[in-house]
Amino acid sequence: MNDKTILPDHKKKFGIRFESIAGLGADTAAQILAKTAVLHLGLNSVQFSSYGHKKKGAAMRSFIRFSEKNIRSTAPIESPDVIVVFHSALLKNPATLAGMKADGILIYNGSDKLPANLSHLPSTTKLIQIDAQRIALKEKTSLDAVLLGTITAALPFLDFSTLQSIAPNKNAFQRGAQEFEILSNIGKGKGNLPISKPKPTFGYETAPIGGTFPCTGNTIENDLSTIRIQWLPILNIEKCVHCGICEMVCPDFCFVWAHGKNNQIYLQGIDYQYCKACLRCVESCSTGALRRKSEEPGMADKLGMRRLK
Amino acid sequence: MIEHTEFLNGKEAAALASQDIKPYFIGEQAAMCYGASLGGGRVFNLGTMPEILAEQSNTRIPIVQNLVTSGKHLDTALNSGWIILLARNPQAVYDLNLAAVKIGEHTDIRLPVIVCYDEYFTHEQKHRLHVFDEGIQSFLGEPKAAITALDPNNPVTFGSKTFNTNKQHFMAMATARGVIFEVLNEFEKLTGRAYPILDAYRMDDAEYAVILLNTAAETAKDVVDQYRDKGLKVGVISPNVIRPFPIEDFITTLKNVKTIVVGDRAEGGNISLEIRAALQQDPNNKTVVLSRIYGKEFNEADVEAFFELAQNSRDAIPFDYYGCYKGEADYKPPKGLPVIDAKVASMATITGKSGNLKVELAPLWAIADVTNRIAPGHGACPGCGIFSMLRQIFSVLEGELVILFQSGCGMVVTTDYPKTAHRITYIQNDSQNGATTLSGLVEMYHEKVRRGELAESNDITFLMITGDGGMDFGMGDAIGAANRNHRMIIIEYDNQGCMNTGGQLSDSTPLGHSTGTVEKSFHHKDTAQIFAACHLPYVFTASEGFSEDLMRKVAKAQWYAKREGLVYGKIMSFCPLHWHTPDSVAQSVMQAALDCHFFPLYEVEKGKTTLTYDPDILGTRLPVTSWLKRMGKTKHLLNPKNAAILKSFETEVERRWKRIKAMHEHEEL
Repeated sequence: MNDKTILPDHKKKFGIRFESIAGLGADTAAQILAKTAVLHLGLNSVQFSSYGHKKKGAAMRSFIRFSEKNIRSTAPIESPDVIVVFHSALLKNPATLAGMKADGILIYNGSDKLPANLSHLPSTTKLIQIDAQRIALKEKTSLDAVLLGTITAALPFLDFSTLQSIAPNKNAFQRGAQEFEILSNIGKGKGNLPISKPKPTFGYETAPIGGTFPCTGNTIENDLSTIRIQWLPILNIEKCVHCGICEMVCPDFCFVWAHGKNNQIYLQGIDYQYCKACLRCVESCSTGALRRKSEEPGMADKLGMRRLK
Repeated sequence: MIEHTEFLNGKEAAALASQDIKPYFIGEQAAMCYGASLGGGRVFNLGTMPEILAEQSNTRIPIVQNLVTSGKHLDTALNSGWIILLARNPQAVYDLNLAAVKIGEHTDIRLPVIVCYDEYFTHEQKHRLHVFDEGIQSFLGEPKAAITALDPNNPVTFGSKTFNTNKQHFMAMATARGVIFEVLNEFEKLTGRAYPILDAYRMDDAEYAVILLNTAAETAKDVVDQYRDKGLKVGVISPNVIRPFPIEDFITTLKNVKTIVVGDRAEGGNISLEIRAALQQDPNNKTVVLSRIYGKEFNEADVEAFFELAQNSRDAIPFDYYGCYKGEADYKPPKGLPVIDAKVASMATITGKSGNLKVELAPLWAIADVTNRIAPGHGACPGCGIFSMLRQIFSVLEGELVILFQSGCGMVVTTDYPKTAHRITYIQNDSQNGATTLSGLVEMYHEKVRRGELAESNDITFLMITGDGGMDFGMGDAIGAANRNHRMIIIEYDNQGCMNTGGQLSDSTPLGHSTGTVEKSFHHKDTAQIFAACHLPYVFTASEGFSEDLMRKVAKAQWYAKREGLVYGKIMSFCPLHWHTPDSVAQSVMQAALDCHFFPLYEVEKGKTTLTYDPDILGTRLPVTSWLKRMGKTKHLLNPKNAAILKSFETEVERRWKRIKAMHEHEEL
């Protein structure tokens, strides 16, 4: 028990926001941090994840508020002191970094090749990069086990030895605490980033009555590619016999077909905008035309094909 | 008083309180809990479904029930005759559950008690709290049931419908006010945690106040502190007890307050109406009461807006919605895909006559030529079997379709407003009554055709999609539709649990399978046989891992649903999330379920049962363990310490298989 734990500003609450995909362990990691603070560090804390259905693969947030006093607010943290991004593809979405404090810390899991331009980031924000995915694979554990180490190393009020003793994987924790890089000269902005505004949609003056809406299949606009964590199914058209099994088993309707000789229909490629990399097609492909490959940045754009609307 | 610290959300705090109280029975269904409480011991209802039984309060049988609310559930509870305590955080959930037992069991009261708290904000957010190590039983005392249904020497009639209990009930509620005060006082002496009937925060000299329920009130306290630092005379009022309604407390607290803004999540603003009615009883009161209904979240900025309104109330309308989005005139939702041509080709060609249909299926690759009735971009989990199933179903259904989904995964992930993955008319209804709703629409369709308002050539097929959980809640309605033999198809995607809400068990979860809550303690429901017993024209089972078989059966289903009556199909559907498997292994896991006899593939066509896949004949027979070992939810059954459960499961699977096989072999069965 450490009764002397103090926050950087002991009059204020300290907020952390995890930006993640459901299934990557963000909620677990947040629970470990918040619970440890309450039971072992003499701090108060509140932890919760974003409202709504927790479908695997859905974008989700998890929040922790630390305080030396009672915490009454249950609102989401709009302007956090620390943002931890579990999947670097999320950096492409401006809402991920909304409310980032100029004197805050941004930690992201990914290689040092940034997937998005972050020049709008406040120049004074500390940017920490850690290849947690690579370490997690090596240590045969999950991302949260690695990122817990990085977060603990970055925040002195989180007692290192206490957190390490609770960590789900000691090696991963240790490597997370050591193998990060501090990137400099990325952000050029000044002052806190603005908090995010919801996109316009129907309102009570414009929506059809009763919650009805006369649309057909407009989920086709959605981009689900951030759900993929590691793999990509790859089609080797040379080996394909156009049997149709992949079309039968694909839950996300990603296969693109076109008519060819004898007025028969032939598989052309995969539309990766909807592909969640469940790899059911790879399991069911009897000729080996579909194989999984580790996804590199840009690979889906190069090998994919847009589905004809 | 010995306590220790925990870090829990409201759901966990309620569960812990229920254990610490050591009741005779903890249930999740209101009616079952009522039955248990008639027997005289302490009963605790942990269920979150908003079923509030008036029977329970009419018969004056105490029980404690947790009600997780988004506002509207509280509306229904308010006039149910129950005592209602409001819990603003997990600590209050724990504490008030203990107090509720003692309040409800008091011999002068004997009423059921609800502990009500916000969904998500209290139910799911984790907070620090203190819980008892000992001393609960001495605080609670012994339950004293005057009358029980388990005393054969003193037979009792419960619930005569001809005696009006209202006046007695009113008297008990009036007494409850004093008892609640006493019990909460005693609790404060024991723990130091105060629960005044009306929590009046910094109200002593307040000129403006907000009145809020549960978590919203806590957020408001932070803002009030900031305003007080600036010298503003503001406060926040929030009841810990809402039934009985604290009339006197409101009159006293609001004596010198200029304006209050009552924020409520419930439609219509019940609380503000009751406050207005209470203030009528004080002829000197001049408080202006404004009522505002807010949505899900209530943050600091909203509290500030409420105080702004209170201070500038001159032209404010008394009742309004707050924070609603007006919309933008030029907003258009994304257009999506074009309307499907009615003449969608089918992969199936049907010949033969009723009772003996033959289906010819195009080669599988032809599926790519059939327009899908559902679009990509839906939000299902990776590997979700519902959507491969739908793709296969749609590839053999001809012509116009209207589809109804009961509540469940398939519903949630396809209709995130204002986007829809559906390309045909889609209706959603709760999982209790989908079949009845769809049969009503079938009635309307036939009437419109009869009146010549719809051309018969439109020939709409009506299809209901439900999960296996939906076929628990909705069983009564589905059986009703089956008995009426409405011309429609009911397809159940059986993924062996209530996966949308956290993988809880359904009646279709097999024995011993671990679920989001407990291990299943009884065998899986044989839904297909239940519907076969309704003597429908066509009942089938299928697996989305065996497409040809599935598609042949769905083609027949449409033929019978158009001409003869209701068709029921139970389709095994992959759920990697809650089966705890990799996302990719659908095929191998479901094949093992077929090969081990667990999920017999058969059809009952005009009463004649035919197995359509027999691993015994094909030589692909496997033991059930070769299926169970493939899933995280069942691996433990291979552990020798679970041998008895495994044996029981194997025996039941075999018994059911042999029964179907006998039916297959004997035309009369």
